[in-house]
Amino acid sequence: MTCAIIATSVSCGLGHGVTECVESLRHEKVRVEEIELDQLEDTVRAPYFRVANATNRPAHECMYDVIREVLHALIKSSGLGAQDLAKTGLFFGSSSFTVSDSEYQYFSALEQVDSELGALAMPIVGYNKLPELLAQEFGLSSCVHSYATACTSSANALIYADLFIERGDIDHAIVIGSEFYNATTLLGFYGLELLSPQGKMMPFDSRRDGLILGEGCGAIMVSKEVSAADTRFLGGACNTDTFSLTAANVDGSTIAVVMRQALAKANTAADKVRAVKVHGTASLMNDEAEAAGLVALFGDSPPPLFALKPYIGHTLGACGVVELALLHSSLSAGFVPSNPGIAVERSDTMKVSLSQQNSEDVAGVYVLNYFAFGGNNVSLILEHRI
Amino acid sequence: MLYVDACYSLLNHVKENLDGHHDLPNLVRELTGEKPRRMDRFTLLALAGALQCGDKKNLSANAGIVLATAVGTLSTAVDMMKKIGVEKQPPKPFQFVNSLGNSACYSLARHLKISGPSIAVSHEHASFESGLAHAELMMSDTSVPQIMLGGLDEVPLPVADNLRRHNVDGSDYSTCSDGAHWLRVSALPAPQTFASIRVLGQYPVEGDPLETVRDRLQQIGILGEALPPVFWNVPLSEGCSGEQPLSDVLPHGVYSGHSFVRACEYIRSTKEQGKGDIPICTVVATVSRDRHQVYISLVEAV
Repeated sequence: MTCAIIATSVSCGLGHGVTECVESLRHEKVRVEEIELDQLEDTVRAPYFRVANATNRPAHECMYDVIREVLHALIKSSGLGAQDLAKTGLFFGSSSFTVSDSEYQYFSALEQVDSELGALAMPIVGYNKLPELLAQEFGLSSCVHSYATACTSSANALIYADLFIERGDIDHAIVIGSEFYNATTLLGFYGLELLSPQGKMMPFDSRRDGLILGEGCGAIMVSKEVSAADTRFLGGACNTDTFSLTAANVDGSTIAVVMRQALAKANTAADKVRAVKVHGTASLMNDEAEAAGLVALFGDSPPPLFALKPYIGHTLGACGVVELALLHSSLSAGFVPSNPGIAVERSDTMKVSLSQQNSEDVAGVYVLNYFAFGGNNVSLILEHRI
Repeated sequence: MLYVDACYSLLNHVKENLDGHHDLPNLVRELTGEKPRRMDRFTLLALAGALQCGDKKNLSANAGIVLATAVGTLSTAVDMMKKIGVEKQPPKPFQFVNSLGNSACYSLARHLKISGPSIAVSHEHASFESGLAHAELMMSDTSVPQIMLGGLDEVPLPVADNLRRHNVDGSDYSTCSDGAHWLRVSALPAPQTFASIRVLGQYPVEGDPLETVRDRLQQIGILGEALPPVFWNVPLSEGCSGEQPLSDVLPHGVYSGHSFVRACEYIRSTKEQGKGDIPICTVVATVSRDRHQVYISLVEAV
């Protein structure tokens, strides 16, 4: 079913709020910090995209504050009143949920007691606990669900929010992607040797050497009322790729299939696609897989490609909604983002390049790709009209 | 409406300081023919339950997976946090990958040789009911003819820590439950179909959960002379027919998945005993922890 995106709110490495994020994106501002983890025997340093004003705030406090600020801004921007909010569901996608707070409580307790016996690891349990609290706080319906599919979590959340609206359970839906700094996640990626030593994300570029993580919260309000909306969600698809636990099939076959399925759901042919927001993690195997999938579907001349992770880092479970919110906002502001200086030319192995200049030609259909550990591949289709 | 053609429940009672778990690695090795490598308890539970739910040859290659869980990969999350906080070491690489909900879906898809969509969803005490709703929605795409729907929650040892996490008094419970509960469902009846499931909705509990269930079924016009067997996720006082957890066992978040499987097994065995024209129906009632809300579902013979 087609549903309308009637409001957007976001906080990420580009800034706090839609206006600041869009202007930073328009002018290609990249603000990477260095995080120092001192919990281990040897200090670990890694590049990281933090949300604005996060530096001197504990990560768990930042998480709760930012999520609530994003929701307040979204609801205000949507213009929905109490009656409509009571018919609005909440769909929450994340990889780490409230691990930031669990870590804070556990590590603090370890410092306060003589042995680890009194400290409780993972004291906060229940993926849907925070979303249900938020739904009560903001007067939403009881249709509240959380999604835990790693990097495709909030992308999957949008697919099902749309289906719940189509079935008539709710009239509107808030879809949130949330991911905030925690040592477990950063050290997990550090241990997998996927982080960029040079501290720059360059998807599809022959100089790429890995990803940079980022934190952020994005929220969109979708509604069954499509008539006046300039951006519509036309549908999405998901498949499960059993090639490898940590990478999609490098021949691109499963990625091509999921994009094809998503376009079929949207009743749109591949040659009508205006541009593709790639997943683009700048990791060696995943970029190869995505490039192969793009060529398999679109041929030797794919539509313009652009990546948002070089600006905000990989926000993991949040990236579905955070990147969609940024795209929607930039289209509404009159431009399609680009990646000057990254993947300028096609390489022999990947045969794709990224857009080098923002474009003002915003109307059309967009494909947004997201791929996760565990072989969960998702592709979403958006239409923007002016 | 969902149609069921296979079901299986693996329920563990985990006692204080004793590992009441099944020997999952050996069980999974028997079921898969492979020694499990780099799998955590959550994934082992998923495989141990799902691979005993129906014959693989009746499963479509486009089948999807819906995995419902209240607390997710808790054992792995606890181990990683302790590794960082106490041992001052980073987590092992595959430990981190296993902490993500869909790693279990990956292993299951690989063993079942399916490539349809997969999701992991959560809705606290009603996570399995969320799974049922998502299975229906997933099959609104007619290219997905069947779904493996599983409810998984695990109890990391020691039990005392688990009770602390759930803010319950250790004097009320000596044991926690965990498990994996699977249904194979489709949107249309198939030759092997023996039951159907309808989630009627969530209702406020007015006084007693049993009376609330009775009243709601009467209002909907479903209740006949007697209440059919009711499968509960919480222990209730006496006078209630059906099944409920033991009173000294803290039920896990997807316990209602066990209730649905037991209801389906009741339907299947009653049909096999040949009850003639008597319509066979059971109720699954899932009560929230604060006992203020109850989900009511019907499981009926097909």
